[in-house]
Amino acid sequence: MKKLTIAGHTFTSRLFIGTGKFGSHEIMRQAIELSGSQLVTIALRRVDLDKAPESDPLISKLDQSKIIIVPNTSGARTAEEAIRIARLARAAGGFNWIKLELTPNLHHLLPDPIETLKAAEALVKEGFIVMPYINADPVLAKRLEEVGTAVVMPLAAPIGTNLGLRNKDMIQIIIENSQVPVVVDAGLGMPSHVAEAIEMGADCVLVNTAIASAADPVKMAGAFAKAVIAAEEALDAGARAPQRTASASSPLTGFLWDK
Amino acid sequence: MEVKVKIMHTLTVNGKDYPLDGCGNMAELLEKLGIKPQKMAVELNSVIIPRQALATTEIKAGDQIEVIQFVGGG
Repeated sequence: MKKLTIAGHTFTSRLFIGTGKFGSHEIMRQAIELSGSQLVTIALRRVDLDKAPESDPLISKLDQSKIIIVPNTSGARTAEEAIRIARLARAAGGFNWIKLELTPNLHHLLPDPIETLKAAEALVKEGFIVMPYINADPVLAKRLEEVGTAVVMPLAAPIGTNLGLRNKDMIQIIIENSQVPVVVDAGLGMPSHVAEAIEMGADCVLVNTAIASAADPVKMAGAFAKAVIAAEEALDAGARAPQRTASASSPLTGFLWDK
Repeated sequence: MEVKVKIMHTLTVNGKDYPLDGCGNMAELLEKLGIKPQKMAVELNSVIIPRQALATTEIKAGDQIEVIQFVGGG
């Protein structure tokens, strides 16, 4: 496969990892390290003033010489709120990458396409490298690409559901038409799901819940990483297209009963 | 008719009221709250205050302050 490059950065791993829901920062660190992932997402929240400050903040566990850190705008319901979070992330950590996540409805957590497009346009103008999380809408994906987002991130299924590629046909259309890398995000629950996404031509995948909430997150991170590599190698090996009629694997000559 | 008058000697940090307690600038307030400003962002009345400007940013009663940090997220 062609090397994956986003905003001038080349990635050797097509697996991106979200850092939410891990039992500890140390487990998260080990999972990321074993997976070989080079891009992780984080979130921003108010400091809890009633709690003692963390002795080892999340950020200190992420080796920024190897990993691109992408803050998300989770919790934002409007473009204005997402832009505010992006600016805060830049002020707090100097981060220029931003995953736009605009989910007004906490029940299904599906992204608001109109607010996402508005925020994307504004943040691209402010020099952010914008990664918009979207429903698998090919028209919206094209509009985002046109305003200058670095990637598009169609969702496989709602966040945290582990349902797999429920939007497969629409994601396929996005992949076929996109001029920017396509990151399949959300709802990928098993290694077979990410393998399928890469096999159908997605540039990369982002997984959080399926790894972080596994009984053994480190082992699961390894399993997902292997699935991504397996799919990549299969494409490099030149996979053949499926066909409707049988094609014998064994010779159709030299049978014992041949006359 | 009962009229309640609230005398403002507090400011709001992350949605909760805190006494101003003699703090004159943002750096003093963060120190009093036990917050180390590394890898955090601070907003004063919706305006981001750069880290190097915390000590020179005056605060007063009634100010709305947000102190934000990074946490795990997808």
